[in-house]
Amino acid sequence: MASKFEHPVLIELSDSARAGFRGLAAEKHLQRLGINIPDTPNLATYGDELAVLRLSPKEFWLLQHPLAEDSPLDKVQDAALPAQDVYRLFCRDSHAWFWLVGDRAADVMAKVCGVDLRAVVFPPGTIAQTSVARVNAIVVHQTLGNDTCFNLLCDSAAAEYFRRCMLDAMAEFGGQCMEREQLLTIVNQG
Amino acid sequence: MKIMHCPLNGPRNISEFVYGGDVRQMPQPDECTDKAWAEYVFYADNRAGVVTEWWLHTPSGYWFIAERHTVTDDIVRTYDASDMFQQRIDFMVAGSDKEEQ
Amino acid sequence: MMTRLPAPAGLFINRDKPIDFSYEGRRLAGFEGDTVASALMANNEALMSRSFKYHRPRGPLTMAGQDANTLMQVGGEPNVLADQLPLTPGVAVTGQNYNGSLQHDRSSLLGWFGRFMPVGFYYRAFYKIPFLRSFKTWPLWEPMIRKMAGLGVLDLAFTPEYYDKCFLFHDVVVVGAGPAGLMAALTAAHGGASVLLVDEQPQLGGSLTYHRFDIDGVEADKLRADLVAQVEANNNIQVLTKAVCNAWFTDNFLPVIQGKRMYKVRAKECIVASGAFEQHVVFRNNDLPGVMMASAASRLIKQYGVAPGQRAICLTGNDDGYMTALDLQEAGIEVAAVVDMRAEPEQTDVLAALQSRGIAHYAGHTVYEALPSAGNRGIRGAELRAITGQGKVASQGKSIDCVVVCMSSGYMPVYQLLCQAGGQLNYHDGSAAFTLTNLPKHLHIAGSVNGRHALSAVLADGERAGRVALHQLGLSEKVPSDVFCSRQVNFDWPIFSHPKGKDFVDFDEDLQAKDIINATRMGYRDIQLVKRFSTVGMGPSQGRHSALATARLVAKATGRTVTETGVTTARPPFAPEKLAHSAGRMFDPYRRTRMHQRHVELGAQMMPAGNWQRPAYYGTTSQRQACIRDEAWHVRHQVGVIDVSTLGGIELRGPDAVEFLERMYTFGFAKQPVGKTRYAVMTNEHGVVVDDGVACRLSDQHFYVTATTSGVEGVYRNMMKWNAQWRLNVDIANVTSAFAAVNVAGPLAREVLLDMGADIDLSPEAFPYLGFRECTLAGMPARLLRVGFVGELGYEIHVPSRFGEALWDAVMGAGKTLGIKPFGVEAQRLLRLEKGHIIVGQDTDGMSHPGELSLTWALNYKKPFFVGRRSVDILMAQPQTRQLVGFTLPANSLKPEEGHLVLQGDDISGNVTSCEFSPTLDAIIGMAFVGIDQAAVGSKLPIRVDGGKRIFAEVVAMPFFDPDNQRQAL
Repeated sequence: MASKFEHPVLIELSDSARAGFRGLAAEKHLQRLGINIPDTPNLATYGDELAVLRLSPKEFWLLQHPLAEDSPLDKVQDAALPAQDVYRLFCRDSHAWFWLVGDRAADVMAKVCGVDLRAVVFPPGTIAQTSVARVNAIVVHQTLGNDTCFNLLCDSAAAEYFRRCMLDAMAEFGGQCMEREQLLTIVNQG
Repeated sequence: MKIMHCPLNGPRNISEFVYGGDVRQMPQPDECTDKAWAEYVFYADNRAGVVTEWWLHTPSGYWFIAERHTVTDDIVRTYDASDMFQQRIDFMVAGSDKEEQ
Repeated sequence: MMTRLPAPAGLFINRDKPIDFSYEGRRLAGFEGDTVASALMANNEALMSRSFKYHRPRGPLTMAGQDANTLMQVGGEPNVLADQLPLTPGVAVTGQNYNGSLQHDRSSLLGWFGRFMPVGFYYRAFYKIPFLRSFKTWPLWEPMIRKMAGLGVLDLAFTPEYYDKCFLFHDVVVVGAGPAGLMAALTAAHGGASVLLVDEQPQLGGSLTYHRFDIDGVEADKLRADLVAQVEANNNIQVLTKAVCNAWFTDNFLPVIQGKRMYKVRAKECIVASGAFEQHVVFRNNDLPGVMMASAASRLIKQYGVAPGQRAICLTGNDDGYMTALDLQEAGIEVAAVVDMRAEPEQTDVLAALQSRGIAHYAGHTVYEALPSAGNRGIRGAELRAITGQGKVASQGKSIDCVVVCMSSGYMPVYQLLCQAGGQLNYHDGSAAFTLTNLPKHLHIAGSVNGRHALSAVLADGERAGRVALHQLGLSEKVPSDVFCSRQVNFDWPIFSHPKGKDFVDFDEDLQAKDIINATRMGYRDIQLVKRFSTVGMGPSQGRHSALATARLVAKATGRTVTETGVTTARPPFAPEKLAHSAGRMFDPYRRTRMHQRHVELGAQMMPAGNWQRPAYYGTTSQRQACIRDEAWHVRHQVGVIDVSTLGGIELRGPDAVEFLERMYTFGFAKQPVGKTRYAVMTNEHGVVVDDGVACRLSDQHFYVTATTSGVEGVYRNMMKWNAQWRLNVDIANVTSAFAAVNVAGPLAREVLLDMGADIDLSPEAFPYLGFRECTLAGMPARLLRVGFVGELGYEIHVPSRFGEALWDAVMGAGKTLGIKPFGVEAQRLLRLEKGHIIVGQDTDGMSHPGELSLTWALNYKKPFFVGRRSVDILMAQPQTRQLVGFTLPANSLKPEEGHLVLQGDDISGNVTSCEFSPTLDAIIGMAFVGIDQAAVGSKLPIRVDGGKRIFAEVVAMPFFDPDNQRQAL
């Protein structure tokens, strides 16, 4: 099947649900809630509902798929924490969230990031905690249909700066910004 | 640009890291002499050879330890700080029997 | 009129696409694919520049962008390499560095005075005129001399263009796409590696695009077609042409410049197949138009279809010169002679080829002097002499008519990148050959840069390097063996000084053989000193041609070998690099609070605070002072609101949260009740105050600690580092960006909060000064801190940052009827100064311990440890030498600025750290470090203000305003 995103597209998802948990008992807590946890740090699992990021042996971020039908993250958020060794993180507010979608996503990133993000070395399901346009960022490779989709999470206070840098980097590939609703339309076509 | 192998994140440009100084043993702050304390705070060995240093991977906020040869600038080995600091360190009120568990 | 040789000559040009351009105001034509220089040569314009010092006419030397002779003015851009710049329609090209016209340069008279203008002449002669030693006359002469050596004209009205940078990742990068590079790239790609192939030329092939490798002249084309087709068909190879790799940095990090982009290439393995620079022969007038490298003549013919002239001599020290002669003759150019400096060629068939074509041959001869035509604008012949010894010639010679002398004394490896990588360049005095050793593990060389010159050996060496790279990548088990090559290409002494000089070693800097020798006689024996004294190798070609000749001359003059003498250091960049390439598309991150848009709407003047953008004040710049005073007045009399989202925030959670806090900050926190805040001072291991903030206790095991805007990053790092050692059970999170916050301050602050609707009791009894509450405020989850930073009843409201804008709107909405006004950082600075509150980093420096800042009350000695405690103890036990104090001056006095010095007698005893005019107090107030015996209240402080004037301020007790702190405790 062909790519639906010949030109790269940037979608800001900062309003979408996400949560983070950290602590020695965080893995166990999430597993008890039925979350599929990656084995080692800097790997991610993802599906139609949630992407699960393992950022360290004891830190996990959950990103609710922006096109998910309901709110699978709610039950995770509502579940009580064990008394010790699990702490909620603030990634809903501390980090802005973008998707960069399309064939040329790795080429766009090469203009702003010093880590090799070509699929041969950075396959779907891998994470790079790195610097993007000199802002600390988490890059997660997942797929959207047949297209490459990079989750980009960066300091929420730098979101406006970050968006500008990404637009500049995308320009030579004909990239543009898009709203979530437009994305939904495209993904659901054919 | 040099590449450093982060124990958590793998090989990265050195620009992603911040140097945190030599790994040094703190003398017992309540018992050592002023001179020993001043040496700890102000003196650097500046050794030619393999030194043990703190490094921070800034994007992930992760401190680790690197062994680096100061003559060749080769990074010999990097590892998690827990390899070296395995036990909780406690300070006792002066006069009690021991300061570290 | 443009003249061209018939195809297949002219590989690079497209004869179907003529291009018009202008040269010195005249209209000329060239073809697409031409460089400016090749198009000029096609129009018989060999004179392209005037030399730097003597204004001698110069023409193309290398035709490869490796010399300064073709530096020209192109439009608004000076110093463009015309033999590298692609010809574009309508481009206006002029010469530079002349007085009059390029053809008739009045300054060329300087050449006649050459003997009176030794190295350093201008500087030594004009810096101080000997008989007027007391007057420095250099400033008078400098502009005139600079004009004489002017290098083009800058267009100051230029429009900035878009330059950018991009990372590029490959397993293998191959620098140079000649036969060795092509083979290396193909070998590596076939073995499964992803390969980047970089070359300066517009087409792949390197020497295959111009050099003749066999007598029939067919091999290069055949091989090139074959290899290029293979490269183009290989998906593992990415090709960058017209691209220059400008440096080698650690771990194969290579800046490759192509057009307006700098690629930052990172490769696991790097193969440098950069080739070799042909070297010139030093003889009289070897710099005039018409004298060029043999390879330049071949390039003109093969790449551009241009005849370098109608009658030529080939002066050579290797067999390649014979091949050039065959090229010339095949192109219909009369070859008057092949002059071989050696006794005989290495291969006998090249001599037979000359003889069968009727080309005259002189073995053991050299060109001793090129005979200039009128005005030195070219040559009309050459005088040949038999070589009688090293650098010596027979007393009589023979003149031969010619307009071109092609010279080749051998090759020097293009070693620059390799020496940047720590490689060692070795010269073998016997064979006059070079080797490069000591290369880093993942850097390899192949081809002529590796001393392999026979084509078969070059190809084999390329393949070998490709295999070595594969082996290093773990893609091949075989370790290939070295390639043997016996071809010798360097003549050991191609230097024939002439008593009348103009025997140039360095064309860029107009340095003759005697200039180098004189430098050694003046005591500069070290090659680096010779360079600095004579400026040899400092010109645009950076010693590409002068380094070897200089090393030889210095070696001989100082009785050493070339190996002992060495060559000067090669540093990046390899080729001249525009500043735009480094400066283009820089990343300069900025951070904005969630209320930023509201500030802009309210007319805020933004200022940087670290990388944050914060409102300095609200209003126009012309009303700055009035705005700040008005904002401050409002806080004192009604109510104001300031965005404090930039304040650092750190969450400490877990069983050891208290213990951790106790270790990181000086105060005691163990007994801090839940629902209370406590001032927190942080010292470093030196006992110096490095940050402060407020610690809020949310529960037994949960603290929220604020930190300064610019300090929080360091505080967080510091905390993480300490706990990597202590291993306390505490979770440390930097939540700065996760919270948006405002400080609502002023007598009416409580009214604002009441109006917003809080689900807690806001009465002073229920929520007193220094209290902390979590609540729902205007429907938002909020953390409330009762603070007194500006000295009024005040509430800091912290909410998750997604509510930031809503919080601002709610506060402004609730405060509307109460006359709320936003205030900026400037007003806050004034207000807190009135209260004598320090700002760490402004009112402290790298030595300020708690005693100097009157913060001893914030030290807790009941706990066993805090970072810096031992140092604080040691410092406090010593006599204190200075103190931070408050001072006042009358309102109409001169106002000291931050950094102005406090004096004690003639000595400096301290400095002003903050100073403002306070409308509330109608006085100038400030803080300053002062000598300890100046610190008593009432003492008079001499402060030296702008212009050196001394004013006297009076030390007063702080706070300046509301000394009993009653207003904030309301």
